[in-house]
Amino acid sequence: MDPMTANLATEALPDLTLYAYGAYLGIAVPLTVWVGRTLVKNGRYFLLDAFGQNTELADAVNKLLAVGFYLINLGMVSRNVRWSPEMTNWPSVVRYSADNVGWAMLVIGGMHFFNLFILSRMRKNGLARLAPPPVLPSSHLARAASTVSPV
Amino acid sequence: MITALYVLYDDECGFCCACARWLIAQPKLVNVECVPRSRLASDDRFPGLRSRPGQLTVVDDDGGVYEGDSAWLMAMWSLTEFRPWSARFASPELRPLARETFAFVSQTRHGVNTLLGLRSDAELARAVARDAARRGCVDGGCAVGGGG
Repeated sequence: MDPMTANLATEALPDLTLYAYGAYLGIAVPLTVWVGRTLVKNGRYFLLDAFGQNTELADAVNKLLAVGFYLINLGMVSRNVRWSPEMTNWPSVVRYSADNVGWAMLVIGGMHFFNLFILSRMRKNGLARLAPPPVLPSSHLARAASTVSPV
Repeated sequence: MITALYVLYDDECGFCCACARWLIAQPKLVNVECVPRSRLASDDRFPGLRSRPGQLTVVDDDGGVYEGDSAWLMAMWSLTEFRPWSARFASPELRPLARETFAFVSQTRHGVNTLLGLRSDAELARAVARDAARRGCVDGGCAVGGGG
């Protein structure tokens, strides 16, 4: 290829990769943070039930869950940056950003529901501790055993 | 509101003693005290209680008496880890299974003792007493290593 044509070709096709990255990260990262904060804020009530209203334990577990959520999502968002086609026009920028943001949303959504499932299970287990005795006594002692203090 | 359970177990059975030790070591939601059956007669906390041999008995602090699989379910209910299971096994669908399982374990416990070589606390106490008697010790007054 003669130098003149090569030069023309590069000038005619601008590299828009950085814009695409900017759009992708600019949407995906705040989205992750927003979902994370929503989970932390609303998941707390589930955890309080799960841990018998133990505020400190619930907040600690909440924080640990949030750290895991952020690590997985931001890790995935960062790693997705490497799959980038040649971006020489604006439609390809939009396609790239939309595709990657879409994937990020699906994974975050999946994790969100998984989180809800785990939290509601923990809550159910926590509430099960308040369950009354499963069976009734077959008879009663003449005098209650509690009248003498247990050892 | 039940806050304490008394589990009356067969202290002539090694497997039952092992179960009682296990029960005591578990995280619990109510207080649990394991009472050996042999001491029942001298214990005035359970007036008029006639514990049938081979029957696990649980007494709650309101004086309610539970026997057999009910006693088993109550012991389960006292444990943090197993309370949800107690409700499940008490359901109409699983209650027969609980009853059969408990009856089976109850009947085969002496076989389990033989199979696993489990010795009950009472048996060990008798062995120690026999040994002391053989060595001519009086009131536990034996010199360590001096007998024989």
